[in-house]
Amino acid sequence: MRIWRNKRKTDRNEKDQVKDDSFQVLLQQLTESDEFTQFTYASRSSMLCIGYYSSLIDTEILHRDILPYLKELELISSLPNVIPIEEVTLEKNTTVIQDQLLRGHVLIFDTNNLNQVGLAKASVERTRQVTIPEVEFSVVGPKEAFVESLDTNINLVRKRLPLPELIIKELQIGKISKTRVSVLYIEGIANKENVNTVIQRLSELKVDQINDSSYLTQLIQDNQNSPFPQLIDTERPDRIASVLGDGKVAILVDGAPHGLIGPTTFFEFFSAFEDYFLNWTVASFFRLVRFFAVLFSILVTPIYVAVLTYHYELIPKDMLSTLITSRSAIPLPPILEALVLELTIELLREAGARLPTKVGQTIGIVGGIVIGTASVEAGLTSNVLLIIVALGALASFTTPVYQMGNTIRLIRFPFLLMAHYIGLLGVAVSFCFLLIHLLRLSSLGRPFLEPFYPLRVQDLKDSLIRLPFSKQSKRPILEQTEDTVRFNTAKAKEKNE
Amino acid sequence: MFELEKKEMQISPFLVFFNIHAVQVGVGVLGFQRVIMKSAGNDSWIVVLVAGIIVSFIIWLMYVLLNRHQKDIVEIHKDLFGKWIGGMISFIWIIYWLMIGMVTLRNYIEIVEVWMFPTINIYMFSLIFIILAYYCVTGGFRIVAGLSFLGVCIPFYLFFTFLFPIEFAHFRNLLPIWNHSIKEITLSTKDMILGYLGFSTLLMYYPNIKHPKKSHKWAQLGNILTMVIYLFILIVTIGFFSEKQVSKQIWATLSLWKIVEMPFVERFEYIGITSWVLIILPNICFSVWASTKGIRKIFNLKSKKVVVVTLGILFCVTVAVQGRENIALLSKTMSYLGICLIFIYMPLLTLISFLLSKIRRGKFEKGN
Amino acid sequence: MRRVINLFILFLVMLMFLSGCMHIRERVLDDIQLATAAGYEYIGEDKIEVTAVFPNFQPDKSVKNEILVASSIMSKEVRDKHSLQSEKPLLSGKLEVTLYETKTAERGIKDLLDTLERDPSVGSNVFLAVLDGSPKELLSKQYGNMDNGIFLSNLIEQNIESGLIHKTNLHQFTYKYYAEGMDPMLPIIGKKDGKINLKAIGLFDGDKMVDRIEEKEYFYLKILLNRKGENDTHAIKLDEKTKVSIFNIRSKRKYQIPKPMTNSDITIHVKLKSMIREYNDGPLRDRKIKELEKAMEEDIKKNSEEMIKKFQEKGIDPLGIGEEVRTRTRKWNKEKWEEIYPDINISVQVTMDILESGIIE
Repeated sequence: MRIWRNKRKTDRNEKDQVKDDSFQVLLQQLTESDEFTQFTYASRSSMLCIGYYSSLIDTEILHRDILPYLKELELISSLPNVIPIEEVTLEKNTTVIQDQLLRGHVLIFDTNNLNQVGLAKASVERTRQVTIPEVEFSVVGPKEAFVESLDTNINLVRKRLPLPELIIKELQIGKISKTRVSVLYIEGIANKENVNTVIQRLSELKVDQINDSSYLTQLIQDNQNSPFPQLIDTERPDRIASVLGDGKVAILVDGAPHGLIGPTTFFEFFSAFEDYFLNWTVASFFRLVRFFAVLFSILVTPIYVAVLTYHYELIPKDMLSTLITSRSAIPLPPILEALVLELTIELLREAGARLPTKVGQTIGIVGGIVIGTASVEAGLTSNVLLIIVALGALASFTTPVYQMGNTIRLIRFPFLLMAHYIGLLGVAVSFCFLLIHLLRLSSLGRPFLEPFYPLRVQDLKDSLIRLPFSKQSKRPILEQTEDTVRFNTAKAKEKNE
Repeated sequence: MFELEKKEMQISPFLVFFNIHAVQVGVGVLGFQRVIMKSAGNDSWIVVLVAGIIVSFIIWLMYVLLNRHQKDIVEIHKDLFGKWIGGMISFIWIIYWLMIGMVTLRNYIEIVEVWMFPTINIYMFSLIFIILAYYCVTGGFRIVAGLSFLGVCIPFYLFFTFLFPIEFAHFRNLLPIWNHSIKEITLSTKDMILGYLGFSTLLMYYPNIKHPKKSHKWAQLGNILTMVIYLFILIVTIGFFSEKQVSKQIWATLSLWKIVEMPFVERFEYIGITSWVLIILPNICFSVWASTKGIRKIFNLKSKKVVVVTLGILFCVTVAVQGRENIALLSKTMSYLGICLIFIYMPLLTLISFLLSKIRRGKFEKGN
Repeated sequence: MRRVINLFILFLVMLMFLSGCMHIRERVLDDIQLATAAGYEYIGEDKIEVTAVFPNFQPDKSVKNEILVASSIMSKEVRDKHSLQSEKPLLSGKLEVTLYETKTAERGIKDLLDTLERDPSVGSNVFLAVLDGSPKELLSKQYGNMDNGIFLSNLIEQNIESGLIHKTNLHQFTYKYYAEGMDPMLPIIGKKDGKINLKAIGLFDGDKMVDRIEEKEYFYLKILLNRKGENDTHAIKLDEKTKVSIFNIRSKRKYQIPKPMTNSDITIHVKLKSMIREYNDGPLRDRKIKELEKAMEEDIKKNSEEMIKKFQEKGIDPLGIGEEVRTRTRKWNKEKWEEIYPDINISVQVTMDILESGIIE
């Protein structure tokens, strides 16, 4: 090899030399990997060399659509005309060549003419089938969820929005993972500022690997130290299609079965997409239930600890005996009692999450029933607190977005500690801290607590409650859309009549 | 770049409604009844109305001044009196604003000491508030205004709890109307105005309002809401307590809550005191924000450390003042300063602003 | 970024300090003894004996009534002495009832009320009552499946709700005590056949009990006391065999004071809308009902005027007539009112309207 190269090197000018040299280096680099297959193939006029990563290409395409036609090949430059595959290119740039090879192209070159090489796409993607959403399951409505393939995912979105205005900008992120990341938005609806923010933040990323969309959430959200996610993570293509129509920007990542949506608000995390499939009265009720479940989940154990430790006056006389008898045999102070129980529930959850589904379920039931009953009988915890903690945990699981659910469970602990230190005042102080924190947050530069702060009455229609579709004729102000009107209500009415 | 950032720090005009209201309602609501009923008795509700109207007038005056200059008061002072004298007068205002924060925090801590935890370590407790205020104020004016918005909306449920004492109220106590002399009413009005103080931070955040001229009506409405709330609580108090009984209650509003009994909670005053954290926090944040911005403007500082200094002063004074007498002295000093600044100095300033601009215009015309 | 680190450090420091330095005394619910009732009795010129009742919750969910008795010169002092006898600190935040022995009530209870008014942990809903008999003796026995504090509080509350006695609690007592034209009343509790019962209503002049009205007069007091009333019951005997019992659906009371602060007459108008609960003399026809109404009106008028007369003689004003006068005049003067009050002619006008007579004729 070396000798051959050295021999060729002599009759080339300076510039070509470098290029040629780098192609040779590339070839050498490629062959280091055993998986790279390279063989020569004699065409009618010349000696062709063919190389590819065997794991990345479909051998059927190679044998059916490429090799038979190469026989006829006269010149390498006529390659695109000869091979009946749409993606056949001629390339000089070594980085591109390398890139394409890694994406499942077949390299074809004439051993005598290294000036130009041909690349034919023969990639095969091994992904799972589109399945039912598991995290955001809904009883009614579409049952498709994203998979790990970016192209499939984009297909799932695009078939719901057959619009030329749906723009997909693709970027490559990650020094070694070279992940394809697509930014989706609808031209004419989405605000350019939002799109630019996303693209700018993505292109400025300096990371080596992006293995999932959640990497991106953590890397590009406005406040990266906040436990609150500021971009919604969804596995439903219908949800993405729907919010694109609101003027939001979506991000899809190759290899990630979840897409990201931004800008979003705090209250959007408590809306399940199923809400849109139900009647607005039912949907609004569920949303309110979910939101109060979160408040309940955060506040109830701390309030229990605060009241039992400092504020016995608050307990009505009829409730006194229940509380006192349930606690009479317990040696632990309320804070420890609560911490033990809360941590037990976290343990159960972790154990359930780390184990295979069926075992996980068993753990949940066994742990819940056995540990709960046993600890009450052993006099380690009071049954009132057991109920409260279990309800609190249950309430935290109602949050439709998984990341937010985790956050809710986490922020209970500072509340609990503060409740122990200064009673109800501690709960209030922590609550203020939480409020200020939420006020300071933003999602892609848009206020996180919208539509309550800043108060935008028009956006309240789809926040804690959801009004009927006929009242949703305007797009939310949050996204500052270029086209603010979804549909014309007057016209819709006319048609109905 | 600077302009853009400034736009982001602006709030829409209707939020002024919440800002004005949030700053006016502080710890005063918890115990204003005793002071004003001392001389005006069952006619105190007139006092609340009169004081509200006077404050309304002052707000109008402020808008006249601010609309003319389209600047905050520190810059107005600089324009009218030059750098040194103007700076000095601005500094008095800054001290006053800072004192509002001190008085609010100290009075609140006193309530906590008396009602909840007599032995509480006030160093630690005020430190918590200082940290909260720091976290809020460093977020910029938008966050401070947001907190005042939430600080009005979230604790609003408390006002429904005042419906419970109505069961025991004797509204005949309001009669006979007007059995006090004008002198007594005036005396009480002076005391009542203290309950409305704090709105002067408007002088500082005026440039942070998007269409400042439009915010005038919201400011007036905010003042009216304060008035309505004072009026409501006062009427319930007059009905619920007999006159001599009120004179014994230092915090009559909290005593009102003692009667509340719900199936899941009794003794609402503890929940009231707790919820009041959310009402006083915007107060403190506004006062710190206004004084910090003032100091930055006077001394031309850009550093974030100014907040730390302001909060440090706030903390030191809060923990240094102990015992009811000293706290009352602090409150009294603040209120005299407030009355002087707002009811004597403000009209004067507006007048000077008019006269000076006339003189200057005259000179300008002569020059031409 | 540095700001976040600073904040984090600050928070850690805060937590470190908080645990030790917040200096708040914990009062964990099961480590304290909650006094639910307190009985006061003067046992000397300046010495007061306080009986505190607290529930002892048994593991089998039953409640045992327990008492502590101690005496001292001030009632908060007594609480400290109680704690000396108790395994857990005794706290007064859940006080439901306070009882004053009859002699103590006659001597004046203002000094004993101060501790209740001053202590932020005592609610306004505490029931006050006068006790015929020794508190120590009465409170030491258990009367229900609960401690005596809750038992007495339920007893009084139930009777207020069903309209048998007037609304009363700590707040109402102090309200009337401080009001210039009104005197407080308290229910009197006594023991009869081993059972506790509400015997009478004690009438106070200021903070001293001076008189009492018996159970059969509750009705007249109640309809005159409140501007609007309901739920009162009353039974009368018209002649030898006719007896009737009525139930008051709505009552309205109105004062007519033509010339306040003078000796001129005061008329109290009472309008009653009632139902017949029980009747023993044959079928009830319309004419009969009219007759009954008349008879009732007469009876109520006579008895309530007598009652008011009695109040005037004692110089007490539990009905708050003084308050009515005060709110109708600009020249209110407490001394002058007290002077003229006994001589005012106060009459009662009753209009009775029987609406229904049950499900039989």
